[in-house]
Amino acid sequence: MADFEFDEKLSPKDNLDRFFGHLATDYGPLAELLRDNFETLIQSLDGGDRNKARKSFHQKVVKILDAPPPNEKGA
Amino acid sequence: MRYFLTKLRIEGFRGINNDGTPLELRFKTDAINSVFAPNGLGKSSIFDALCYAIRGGIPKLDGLPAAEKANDYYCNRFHSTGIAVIHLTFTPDQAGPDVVIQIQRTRDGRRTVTSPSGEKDPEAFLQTLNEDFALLDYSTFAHFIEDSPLDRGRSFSSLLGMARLSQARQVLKMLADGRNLESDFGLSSLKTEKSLTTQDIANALRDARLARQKLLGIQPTEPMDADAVALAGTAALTQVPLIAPYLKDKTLLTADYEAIQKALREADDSKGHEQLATILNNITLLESLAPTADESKEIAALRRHITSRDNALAKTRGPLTKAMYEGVQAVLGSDEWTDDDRCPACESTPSTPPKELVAARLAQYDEVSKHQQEVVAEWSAATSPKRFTKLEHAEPLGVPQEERRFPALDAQFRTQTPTHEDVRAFSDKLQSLDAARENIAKKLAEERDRLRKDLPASLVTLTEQVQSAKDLRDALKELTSQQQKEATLDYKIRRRELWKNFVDIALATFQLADSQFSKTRAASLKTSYQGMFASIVAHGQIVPSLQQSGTTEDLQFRLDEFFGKRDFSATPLLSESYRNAAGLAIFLSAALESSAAPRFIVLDDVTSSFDAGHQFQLMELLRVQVGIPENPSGLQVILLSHDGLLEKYFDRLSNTKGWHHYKLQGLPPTGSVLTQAQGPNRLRDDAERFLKAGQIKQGEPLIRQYLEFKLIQIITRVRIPVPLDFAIRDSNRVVSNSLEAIEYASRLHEKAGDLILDDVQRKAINSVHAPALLANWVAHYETGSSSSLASHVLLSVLKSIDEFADCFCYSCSCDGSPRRRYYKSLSAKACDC
Repeated sequence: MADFEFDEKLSPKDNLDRFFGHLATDYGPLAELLRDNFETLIQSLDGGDRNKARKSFHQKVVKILDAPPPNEKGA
Repeated sequence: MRYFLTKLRIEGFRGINNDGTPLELRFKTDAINSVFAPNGLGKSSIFDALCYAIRGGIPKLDGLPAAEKANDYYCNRFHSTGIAVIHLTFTPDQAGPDVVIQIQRTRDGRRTVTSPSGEKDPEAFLQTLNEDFALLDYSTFAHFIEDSPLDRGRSFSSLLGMARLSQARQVLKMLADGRNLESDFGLSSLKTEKSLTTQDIANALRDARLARQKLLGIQPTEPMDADAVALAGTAALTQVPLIAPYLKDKTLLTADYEAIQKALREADDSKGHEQLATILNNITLLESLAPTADESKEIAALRRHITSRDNALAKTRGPLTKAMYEGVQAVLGSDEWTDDDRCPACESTPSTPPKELVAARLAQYDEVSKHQQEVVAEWSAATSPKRFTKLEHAEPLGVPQEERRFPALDAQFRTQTPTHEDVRAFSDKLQSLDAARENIAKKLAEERDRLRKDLPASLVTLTEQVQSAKDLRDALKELTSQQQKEATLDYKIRRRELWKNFVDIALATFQLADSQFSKTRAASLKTSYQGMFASIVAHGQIVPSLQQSGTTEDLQFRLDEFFGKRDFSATPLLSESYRNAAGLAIFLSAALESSAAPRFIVLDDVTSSFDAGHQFQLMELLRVQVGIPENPSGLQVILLSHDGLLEKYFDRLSNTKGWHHYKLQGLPPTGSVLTQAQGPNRLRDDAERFLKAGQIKQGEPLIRQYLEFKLIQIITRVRIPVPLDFAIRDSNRVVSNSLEAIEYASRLHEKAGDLILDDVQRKAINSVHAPALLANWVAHYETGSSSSLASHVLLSVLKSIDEFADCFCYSCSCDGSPRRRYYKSLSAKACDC
């Protein structure tokens, strides 16, 4: 995977968006899955039940991983 | 857009009661703003109010154990409604309207945020102001320095406005944690299942090869092509006239073998054929139960894991001690225990911190658990236990239900603590079952050979062919089924490993980028905070430095230089005040660097650990480098302090351009807290109103504030000299100290013959007002017995205060209309009137 750097001129949120965009070049659907659930996982760090949030996310991941995709590569 | 904090109004919050008369502070955008209050006069409540308004909570309350019911301490307990109201006005640093936000909190903890100025989402607006540097107290930067490198690194990220990146890193670490993936994805279970399936495939293949040899005469060593074998088997059966009709439109795999066997029975009316079929069936079954793997290796592996577990167990001190360590660990991790160096169980202070000690002891128990899990995994993946149970259930062996050992052994290995004795019992019984299997198989083979001789050769051949075809069908079906299962498991494992690989790469990529980013940001601040530190400590012999460790979040607090020597750990070398100076310098430099929404910094008692010299250096740093107006691109600085020495500094600067100062007065938490600038008339009017209504308790504190205000006003306006320690004397004696200063100065001028006061004024002061104030009020409230005074007495005190102050005024008509005006000094008027 190519190198990635954060941009000082951008906000943390924009930098995170760039990071997910970078991941998507090699891991499209997986990066999208992570990005779409990332906010919930971050919120679970403060006060929320992080284990519950993680397990719930991993259940989603397993469901998607086990469904046979049309093209397995990168998905 | 960035914002200044220009107005703060508080009522009913923490120590600020101010029922009906909110405390109001106005802060200038082009000046350093200082607020001084002696201890217990509501200064911390101002900082708490800002914390609650902007951050939604007060750290020192939120950190209390649940039993302390922190929620009960937000609202003032003496306020008539019990509702706290905080009113904030923010002014943009560019053209634009003010944003006014009101935060209300009820006693039951309900928070309501509204915007009288019409801000669409006032809570979101407050969140944009929630930057770490905006509200800074002593404990924040002291903790920053004392924290672990990991916590310091996270705090630093947050300080630089990169908290979200730090949180993102924590999420990625959580997702990439192998233990989490293992438990959530059940990867080992899938791998164990796959390993068992592979074994089942090997067994099915062996059975298929044996049946193929019997039916088609092909050597077991020849490769197995299931489709080709099925075709060849079908062809072979079709050659037999008796069977051929049953294979019309069918194959070896789909033929109805019960119908074929029935046809065979009908062709031979003796019982020999049926007996032969049963024997052949049993022989096939017993052949399939022969060992396929080197089971001695499995037994040896079980013994090895049990030995490792027993060795680990010998290092521990038993389950009761484990429970004790877990209890101690729980206490150490809770809010109930704050001394990390002391053990809560024995109250001693060991050389190794109790947390580390307990973690090391519990790790020994984890080691036991790990080896026990290895035993279970080995038992689950081994083929011998499965063969064991099949042997016990095999009909030809005839093991009675009550003699079957497998259920007990399986429970022992999976859920209990198996011993070497259990392994031996399992191994011995398996050998015994195997011996029985071989013995019975031998007897069945002899019986089969006898029947072969007795029965017609063609019928024997036919029976054996049909049995072999049936065995081949079963084996091929089993082979196909297990191969499909293996493919499914393999797919699931590969998919999970693909995800694991993805999150590993995501974390590694993020960590590399984040650490590089943090290093760059830290480096950009380095010159600034090192310069500020040198300014506070007033020399350059010590140079602090924050250093990142590899790609981790850890941030080390080091010294680049220490009196000519290089590279030391800072914490053991620096005194508390120097450590705090470094922490403060880091926070201030980050605040100056920031372009986030708050363009203000509120500093609460940040000089606590500094001596007078360092306090002065810090104030000068704030005034010259940090604050507007000396630094036009700097911040609006708001200082809260209870320090008597600093009060002098504030007093000196309060009349200069670029400095705006408040002093708080009052009697919190029951009475009101007001500033001198909030107007004496309001104090007086409120006091009068309360007293006329007979509300002595509410009126008394206001009289005191009013009297203090008027006396200080006389001293300031008439330029009466006071002793050097005037400001730092007991705050309860402000009135008598002031009266004393006024009296001494008057006497001095009288003796010098230049006292400007007229005779009436002199007589009124000495004979009427001063004695009345001292007798009726000062003597009572300074001894804490003022509550015995009646309201009419207190109303006369108010009158005396005004008349006493008027003794230092004269009639002036300079601007056309007559007014009372303070003398310029005790020896001169302020004009020529």
